[in-house]
Amino acid sequence: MASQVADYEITSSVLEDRTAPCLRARRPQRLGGGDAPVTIWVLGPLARTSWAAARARLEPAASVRDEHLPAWLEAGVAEWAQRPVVWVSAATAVAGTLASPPPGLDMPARLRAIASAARGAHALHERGQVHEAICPQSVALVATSSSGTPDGGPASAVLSPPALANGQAPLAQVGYPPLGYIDPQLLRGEGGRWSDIWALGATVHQAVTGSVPFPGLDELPVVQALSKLLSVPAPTLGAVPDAVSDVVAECLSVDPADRPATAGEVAERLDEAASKW
Amino acid sequence: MADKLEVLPGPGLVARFGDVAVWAGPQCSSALQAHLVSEAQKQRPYAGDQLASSFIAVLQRGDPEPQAPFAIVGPGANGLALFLHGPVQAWDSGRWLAPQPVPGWMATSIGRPWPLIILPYGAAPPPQSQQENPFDLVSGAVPGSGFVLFGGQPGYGGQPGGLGTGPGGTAPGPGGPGPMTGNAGPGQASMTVAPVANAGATGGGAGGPAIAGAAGSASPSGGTIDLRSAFAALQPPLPVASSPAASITPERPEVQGVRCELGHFNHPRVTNCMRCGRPVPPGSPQVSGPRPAAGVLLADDGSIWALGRPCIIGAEPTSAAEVQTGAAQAIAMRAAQDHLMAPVHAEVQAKGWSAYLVDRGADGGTFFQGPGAQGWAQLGRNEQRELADGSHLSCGGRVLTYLSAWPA
Repeated sequence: MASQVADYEITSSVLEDRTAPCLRARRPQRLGGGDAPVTIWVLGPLARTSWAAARARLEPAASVRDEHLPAWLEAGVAEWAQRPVVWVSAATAVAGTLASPPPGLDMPARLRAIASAARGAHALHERGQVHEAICPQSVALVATSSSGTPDGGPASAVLSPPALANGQAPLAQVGYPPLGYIDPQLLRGEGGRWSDIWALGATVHQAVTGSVPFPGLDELPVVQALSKLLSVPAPTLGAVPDAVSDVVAECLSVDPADRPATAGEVAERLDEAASKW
Repeated sequence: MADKLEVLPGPGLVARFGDVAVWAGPQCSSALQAHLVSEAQKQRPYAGDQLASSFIAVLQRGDPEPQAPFAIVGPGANGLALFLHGPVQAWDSGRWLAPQPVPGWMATSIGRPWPLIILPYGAAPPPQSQQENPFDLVSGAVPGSGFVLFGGQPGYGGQPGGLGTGPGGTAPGPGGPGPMTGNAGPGQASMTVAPVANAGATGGGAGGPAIAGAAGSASPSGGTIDLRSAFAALQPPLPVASSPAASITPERPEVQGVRCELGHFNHPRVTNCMRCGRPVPPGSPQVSGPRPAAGVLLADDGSIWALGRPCIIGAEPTSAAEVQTGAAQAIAMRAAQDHLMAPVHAEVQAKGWSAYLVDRGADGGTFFQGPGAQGWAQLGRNEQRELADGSHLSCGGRVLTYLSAWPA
């Protein structure tokens, strides 16, 4: 791992995901604010978008201030793993993600974390934006102890940066988010808040069952995987409490009109399910 | 700035956006190339001066890529601003300019430069009469080993002296730069540059990080934005799925299809609704409705594009009028090595429920491979070919695969 992104000194990796690494870094002195750790997301190679397109995506997202979204600092271009990438930094100290949750994080806490992310998505939706990259990697668990790791209690979480996918950028990238979290309607060019709601349902599915709704999709050749997604397979859910299975089934409805109307509604139902788990 | 920019073939990258032109040699890191292209896209007053100023500020703190040849040409307060870095040379219609020593860097202003030639240091200049070459980079980034800028004045009056002797005997030809007015080694920029607006505005006003060079090094200052005060015009909330506003946008062309019992519009051959899964009985009456996306294009870099509007593929597809009007979406792709991707190279468009590949007349050609076929077939100029599910298309050495969202 490189020791720097721009002039941020990397101290550790929060998520060693090949396609969307999340890093912990020291706050550069020029930013002020003491030595509180900051979080950096590496969003993807610049070759897949242009800086202008990335900027056009990130600035509106950062203009949405909400407690369920990171406290954004900066975005830029830097070389990472020998390629130019777009990065985003935030003052929010992230201790982990739902992709690799700390062992102490029980199921109600995981559901509350997704509920927090859903509220972040709702805040974006209310400002006319779709996140388009909701998956376990993008549910960032906020550090709740001085050591920077969650204490295992009720998780506070924020929704990580949106996909660099609008305007002149592609609607999706193979790898991030994983294919199983992409709403087939999005592939048909009919994205909306229902696309994020689908992805929230898939994220809950993964959290409670340990697998994505369509296991093996990312192991298939991409062409086959996309063909499978485009054929709208019916998701299945293992034996979990009704309150959870119902919200997952609704989020993953083939017809967007059958899904929960808003991500805020998903959040409320997840919090309620967590309280009864 | 100039009437015409002729790209010289060979390795490297030439970019032009508005009045700013840059060349980056193949020795430049990809990050530096990306930074140069990114900076060139920023339209601002005295862009040449400002770009030079920003690079000088970085170089005075240390040169991360001393062997990286690149050149920037753009409008300045005193004429045309020229910034040269590394083993690169410029002919300004009267003399050869290059950093001293080589490699180093220099910044200068030049008055009436046409034609202005940018080349790797020591490279032979292009033959005369290049002004007749029809290729003119209007906007975008393309492969190239240098460029020639032609202005409105009579061009090539000062052809580089005999390809090596220098005009009037006052300056040597390529490989032996003559005297220069803006001569500056590191830290000795003699040129007066305009203040850089927002210089170091990132991070609360402190100086921004340096040029991206080696892995893990700092990011380009010009490519960093402060998100703490990000502002965006208020957008209305997104519609919920059940609202009429969430239906497919009405400006899509009408096609014939069938509706399920809930009224979802489908391809006439579906047996189950592709939106809600409900059965669509055979023989359901065909009705007219707005066409959904025909399918997706999967690019070899993993990007996925919905084929709702036509897709323009090229190195600078935003230069296409259809993209600028919003009638088409842009798929910007860089050419593979030893291939050429035109700014607007090919197009994939939907007609009815089918998708078609259309050649846009680019020199590099547009290629097609049907599902199961072994070889590639080149399309004729402006020819179009229907894409079946699983068809491949190639331009500029890059490959995209078409996947239909509907039954064959």
